Amino acid sequence: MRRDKYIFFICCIIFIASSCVDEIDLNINTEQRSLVVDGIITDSLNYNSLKISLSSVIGIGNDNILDPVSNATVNLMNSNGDSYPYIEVSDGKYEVAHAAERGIEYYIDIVLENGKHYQSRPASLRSSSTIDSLKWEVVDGSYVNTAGQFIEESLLNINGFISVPSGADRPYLRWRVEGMFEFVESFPGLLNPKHCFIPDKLDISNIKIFDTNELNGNVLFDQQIVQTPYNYRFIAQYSMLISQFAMTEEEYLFWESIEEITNIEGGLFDPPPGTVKGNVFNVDDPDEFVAGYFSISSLAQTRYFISQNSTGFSIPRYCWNFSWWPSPFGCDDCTKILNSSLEKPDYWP
Amino acid sequence: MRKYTLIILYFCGLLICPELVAQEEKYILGNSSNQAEGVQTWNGSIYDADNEALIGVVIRNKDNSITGYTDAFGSYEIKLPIGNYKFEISAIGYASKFIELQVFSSGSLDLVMDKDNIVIEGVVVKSEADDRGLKEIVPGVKRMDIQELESQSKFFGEVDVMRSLQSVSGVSSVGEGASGFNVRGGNADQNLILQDGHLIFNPSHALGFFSLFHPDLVNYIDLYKGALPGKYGGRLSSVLAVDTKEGDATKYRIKGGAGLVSSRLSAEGPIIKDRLSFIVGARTSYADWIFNLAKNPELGKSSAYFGDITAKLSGRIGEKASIGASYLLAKDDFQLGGETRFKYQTQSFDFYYKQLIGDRFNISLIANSGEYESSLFDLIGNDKSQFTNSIFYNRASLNALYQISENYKLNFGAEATLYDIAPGSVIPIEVSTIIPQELDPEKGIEYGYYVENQFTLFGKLEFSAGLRFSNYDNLGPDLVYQYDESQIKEIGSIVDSTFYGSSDKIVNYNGLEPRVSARWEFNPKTSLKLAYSRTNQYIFQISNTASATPIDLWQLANPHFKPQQSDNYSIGLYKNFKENTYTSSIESFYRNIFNAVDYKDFAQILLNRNLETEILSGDGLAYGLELNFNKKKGRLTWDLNYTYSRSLRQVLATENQLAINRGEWYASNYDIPHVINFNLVKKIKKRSSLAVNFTYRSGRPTTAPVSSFNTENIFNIPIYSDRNQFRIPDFHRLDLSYTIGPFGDPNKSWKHFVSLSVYNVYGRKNPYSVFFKQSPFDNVKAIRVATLGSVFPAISYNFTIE
Repeated sequence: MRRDKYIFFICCIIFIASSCVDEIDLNINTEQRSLVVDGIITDSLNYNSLKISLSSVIGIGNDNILDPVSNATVNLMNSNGDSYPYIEVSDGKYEVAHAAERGIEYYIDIVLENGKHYQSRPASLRSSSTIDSLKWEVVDGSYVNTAGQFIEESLLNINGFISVPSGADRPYLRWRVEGMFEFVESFPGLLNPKHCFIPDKLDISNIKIFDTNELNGNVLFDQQIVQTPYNYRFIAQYSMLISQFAMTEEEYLFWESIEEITNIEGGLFDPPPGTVKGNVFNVDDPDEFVAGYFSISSLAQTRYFISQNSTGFSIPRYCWNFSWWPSPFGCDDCTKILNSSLEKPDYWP
Repeated sequence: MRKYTLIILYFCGLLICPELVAQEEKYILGNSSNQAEGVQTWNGSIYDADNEALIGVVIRNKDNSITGYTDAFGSYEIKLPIGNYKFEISAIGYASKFIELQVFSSGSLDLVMDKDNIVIEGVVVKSEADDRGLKEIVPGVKRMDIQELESQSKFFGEVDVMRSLQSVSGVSSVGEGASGFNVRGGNADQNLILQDGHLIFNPSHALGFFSLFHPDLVNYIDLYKGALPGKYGGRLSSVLAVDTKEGDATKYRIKGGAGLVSSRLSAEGPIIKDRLSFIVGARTSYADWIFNLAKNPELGKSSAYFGDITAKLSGRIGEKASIGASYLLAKDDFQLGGETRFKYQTQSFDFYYKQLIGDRFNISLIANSGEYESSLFDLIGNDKSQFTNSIFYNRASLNALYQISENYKLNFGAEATLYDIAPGSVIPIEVSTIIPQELDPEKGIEYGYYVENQFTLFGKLEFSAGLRFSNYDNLGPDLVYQYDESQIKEIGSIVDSTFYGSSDKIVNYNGLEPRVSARWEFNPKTSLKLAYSRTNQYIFQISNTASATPIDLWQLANPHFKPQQSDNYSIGLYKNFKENTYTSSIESFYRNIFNAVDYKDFAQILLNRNLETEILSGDGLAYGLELNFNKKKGRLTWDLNYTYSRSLRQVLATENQLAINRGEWYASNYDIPHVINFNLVKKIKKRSSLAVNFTYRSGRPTTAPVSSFNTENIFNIPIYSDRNQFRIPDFHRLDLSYTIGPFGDPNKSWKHFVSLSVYNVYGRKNPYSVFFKQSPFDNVKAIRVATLGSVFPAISYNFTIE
């Protein structure tokens, strides 16, 4: 919300050198933890995982660490009365070998070790839509940072052209992108540089959703799916696995609320924050808050390769660039980079 | 030691108390050779040196057995038997007058009062009649005149009505520079704000740092915090009535001032001497230089402007009638970088006619028309747009006052207001993906009728018993949706809709509003007051943010928005000491509110055709205790008050809505339990004075994250506490201001004043808001935004030419 910046603006005009935005301690010491259910079932066997955990306590340790909840009995249920058991593959992570079918309602059924019983509200698959084509563009993303410095940057946008079925049952879309790039180490005298393959989290904190009911016509043009700095990752080769989920209206509203709540900028003009409610509830105690969402979505996937060779926009040398002395981490041994692997994926060109 | 101090005080008293130095003037009513019998009538008018009628002048004899006040035309009437009397005549900001009156028969006497002049030694600054608090029948009334306003803390060196109001017990705001104000735990939209009868929908300039009331034109302000007189209605919390001056009908005067961010100028004088006068004031800001100081190039593209014009024509027709017209235009325009721009303006025009019929019956007729329009511009991206909403009104009111006898006064009147609201439209700017959209206008008409009897029993017990009837029609054209009564109200539960044609009555609401108050005077120094009043409110501001914003829309009562209603109870004990040198009071209030509005989480307010689906309806409750201690006379005057109050809300789950906080009572956004204000004015030398102001307020409630969770790619999604479960840090601030002037020869026509002020002396970073920031791999942080994070010195120059 740009108007939220209004307050910063007022704040800054009345300025006087001192900072008007700073961190304080509000002394929020409560141990209010909630169960978190984050799961999805799609019409593909590729996406069917479920994580059960306890929310973190703010102000104690790392707020990002959730405690996994193990040994739960989890079943995928459907309106035909079938049930498909989940298997715990690692602490708090469960999987089911089943792809959802159209026209059937599904819900999750969870019984914890302590006997607490949770379910999600039943939902069925929405009609899916396909990604017709993807288009890239490199744009200027230079900006002035909070310290007043001008930062020069180029951004890569990947935009999609998506066919949307007409009729009443138009989907609500969400995109996720998994990146992987090839990194070639380099230093003087190196004869056989290693090629590493490094997974890249392209969509961290980035919610991409769209309500096709707002669309005039049957094609969604130029929908931005990815925006990321155009840098060394695109020197050799970059792969993006784009997953498009067609979800229910309820889930769309869930993501919309999350987007809103994670983008609060803190003006007096901000709406008061609220807690995002999902679709999982305690069967015996409807007042208990359960975080997260159990999604039932149709999936469309496509893989996209891009590099400086395909765009024609050259990227400054990364390793052994004299303005970056010494060379960045990994230039001498790319296997040191987190999660990197020397194994070339099957799909790599 | 104590005795010595008393002697010094006594001598100082000799120098500074007008009571002791003033000469008594002698007047005779009638003729000693033609002496009447029985009770006689003494009437007349009281003016100031500029020939402006003075309202609320207190006339009383030594033992208070005979008292009277001047009415809205400066006229008074007192019944008294034949005899010799000594009267004191006192008024806010004027030197008390002592007269000796010999009454032989009924007669008329016009008097002129001189202003208290703070620069002339030997006269006391009086901002309020010393015992007005004691004598006023309704509890919770505060009057401030321009001199009291001027003696308060200055921000950017400017005198400001709204800032000064916040030092009154029971009045607070949600943050420094927040729009509007909150009275006794009420919302900002529950204050009826009037300037000479114009409705003011947004009194703020520059967000909330200044207000649109031109300080040189303000005569006085009245704030009714609790029980409202029958004359006022339509808002639950309070009435702020700003009265502007009439132009001087005898001589010309120019006043002006220049500060760091704005300048002002006003002029007044006769058009036809003693018959027709004008006064006009204007202000303009020049804050852009501040942006040029900023290193941030984005801020360099910013600009801020506000300005206003207030003008008034006043005429007299014969001895008993007056007529006038006034105009107000206030504009604001803010641009933040190249991104966002806010623009809003208030405009109103009014006409009045006042007539005295016989010598006991006053009527006044006011007709006005005005509008408030606000726009938000989004200037970047491919969704460049302009969002606008506006409210327009026409209003007419008739007020009458009939002094039936010495002990019985009757007020009655009627008013009608027609509202026309454009709830929102959006248009694209340049190349934009925004589709133009406009919501249907809303219309409503509100009538109010009242009768109020004021009478005195046994000499000591004064009653005011009134009844107001308010009647409201929501008018077409409009499309009204019906929702399934057994479901949560949302777009999916619409079952039908009805279209109403132009001016069709969609729904009617009405209510009887008793207004009762009583004052028992134990002795001339002590009184007890009780009051009860009920009010209905048919127009609300939809504001889902802690502070009102310039673009908040106004919503009329309709089939989905029920009128809000409140019952106000108040009680107060007032005691003055040492010839009214010290005054004190304890007031307590209790108020309940029905149909209070609150919002769903993530409510969408802008351009929503089904706004009712985002709203929750609940009840409100506010109660508190206000303690006031003042020293009102002498070279050193001060004012200390403490308020304890609570403001709570409750939203229960029904078939059509979910509860907030499981249906338990929770603190409203305006729940500020402890407030302390201290103001001190010390005359240092002949021509200078120092003012010290201190304010402390408890932090307002906030909703904070208590836990967080992740999804696959989104980290740190906060789980919030119950609504308003926590509080932001407390607010406190100390300000100083020092005024010097006039310089030079006091007999010269050009007078100069300089005011130096230091705002926030110890540089407290008072939070304007606290928000919570989450980033993917970091802990949640509470971030404080302080609008004025440091000391702020300022200087301003003011002058008068007459």
